[in-house]
Amino acid sequence: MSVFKTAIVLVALAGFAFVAFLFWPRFPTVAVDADFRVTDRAVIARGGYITAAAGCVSCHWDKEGGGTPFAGGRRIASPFGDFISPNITPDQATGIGAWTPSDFLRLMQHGYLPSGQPTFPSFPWGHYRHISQNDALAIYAYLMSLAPVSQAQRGNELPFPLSARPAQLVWRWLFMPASVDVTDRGAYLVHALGHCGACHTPRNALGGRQSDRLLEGVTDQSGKVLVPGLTASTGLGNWSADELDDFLTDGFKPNYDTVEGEMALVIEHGTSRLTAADRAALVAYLKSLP
Amino acid sequence: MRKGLFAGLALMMAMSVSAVQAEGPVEMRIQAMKDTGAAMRVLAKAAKGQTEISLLQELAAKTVKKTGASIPAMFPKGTGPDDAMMGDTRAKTEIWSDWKGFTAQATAMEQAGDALIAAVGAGDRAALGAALDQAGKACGGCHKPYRTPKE
Ligand code: HEC
Ligand code: HEC
Ligand code: HEC
Repeated sequence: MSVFKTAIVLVALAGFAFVAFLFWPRFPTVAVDADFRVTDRAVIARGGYITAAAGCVSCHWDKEGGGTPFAGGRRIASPFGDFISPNITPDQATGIGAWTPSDFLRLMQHGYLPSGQPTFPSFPWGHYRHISQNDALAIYAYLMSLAPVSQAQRGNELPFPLSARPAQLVWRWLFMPASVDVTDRGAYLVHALGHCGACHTPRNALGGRQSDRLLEGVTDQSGKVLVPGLTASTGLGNWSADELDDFLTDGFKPNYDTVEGEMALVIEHGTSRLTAADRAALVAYLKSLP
Repeated sequence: MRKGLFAGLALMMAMSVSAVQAEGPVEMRIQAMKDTGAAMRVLAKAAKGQTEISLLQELAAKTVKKTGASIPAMFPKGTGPDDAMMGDTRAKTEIWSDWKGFTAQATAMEQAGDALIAAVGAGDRAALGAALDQAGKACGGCHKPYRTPKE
């Protein structure tokens, strides 16, 4: 065999190996706490609160189409195509009834489905992976306590090659955002549960989050604000802590204009349901951002 | 009370100045909406106990009622987004295709204004809070179906 042919074979082999590597299912190790009981009422109640703070229902509910909360079916548009949220009620056939606690942790902590394939970042896993194990399991217990709804998954409407899950691994490798320090309760509510950065942090052309510009808001090319910033210098400088607390409770801005669009859902399903102490911690954290 | 009176005068002056500055129907109604927002803020502060209930709140409650009552007149035919020369309006065409539904929301706001006036008159913070909720629902209940979201 000539050197040339050998080179071609090697390159082809490397290509196959790379594709196989991408398609190879992955099951990162997770360890469910030994004392976790999915039917523990206290855990379920706490899970309901955490699930609200994490705003899961905003995406997993086709409210306008008359759907059931958590049964999915909502269309979530992105520059890359439309995602249709799946059913996360515990229905065995169409929901997540067959998922084990480990399956759920693998999704929340590592972004992998039970099939071993990666999720798309439309599921804000880059934020949710900061959720504590305890809280993640409480969410699981809460979801498992819901009435199962039989509603088949419609599947995402993405163009090839974006539709291929393995392509996600390349994307992750390129853009995996740096993790954020969430020891402060307010930071935890903002970055882990509230995933505020999913909308309020600017992204690059390929949809990767700009980790060095956390919560600085999104503008289009002409400089028009699409999503306002949440730091003092990019938006909230003129808001008092009180005004911010009011806004996150009732949706009225300091000038008493009503909130609109996606943020209305964040408030309705999320921040308005926080305890006063948690909302105060969230507000204090946002007000501390320069 | 002195402070309240002073602030009330300032609010009235600000409102009359803005009424002079505004020209076309769109600018006028946007200014009226902004004034209503300022009035609601004044009422919300009092409801939370951050300020006294005084003349300022009385004026603010009347502003909400007055705006509610004048909304139908502030949206004459021919001032929609498709009409020439109307500039930047976020009013939706549904206002005119569903005029009944639209004016029902304006009436709801006017009634909330009555509740606000009564609560302020009674100096009752709890009633003021409830009336504010009622008014707030009227704002959102109209903005959602009849106002184009910011793009
Ligand atoms: C921003 C919208 C959004 C939010 C918020 C969101 N999800 Fe999802 N979720 C999605 C989308 C879209 C998918 C499908 C992703 C894919 O196809 O890879 C998904 C997938 C899932 C799945 C996998 C289901 C399956 O059968 O494949 C689970 C479980 C899930 N989400 C649970 C949650 C939980 C729990 C929360 C709150 C902590 C949450 N989601 C919040 C959009 C969202
Ligand atoms: C799904 C996208 C999304 C998420 C998640 C989100 N926001 Fe927003 N937010 C928006 C949009 C869009 C607006 C503009 C709404 C408007 O102008 O009425 C907004 C507006 C705001 C404003 C008003 C800012 C201003 O200057 O007018 C604040 C404050 C805010 N968001 C805080 C938060 C916090 C805190 C979180 C997390 C708990 C959060 N947002 C999560 C989309 C989002
Ligand atoms: C019956 C319908 C209706 C009711 C009730 C209503 N609004 Fe409005 N509002 C509108 C419409 C329509 C616009 C957009 C006007 C335009 O752009 O021409 C608007 C615009 C606004 C604006 C934005 C002004 C700007 O800067 O562009 C504010 C603030 C506002 N309203 C506050 C309020 C408040 C506060 C309430 C309740 C106390 C309220 N509105 C009740 C219909 C209503």
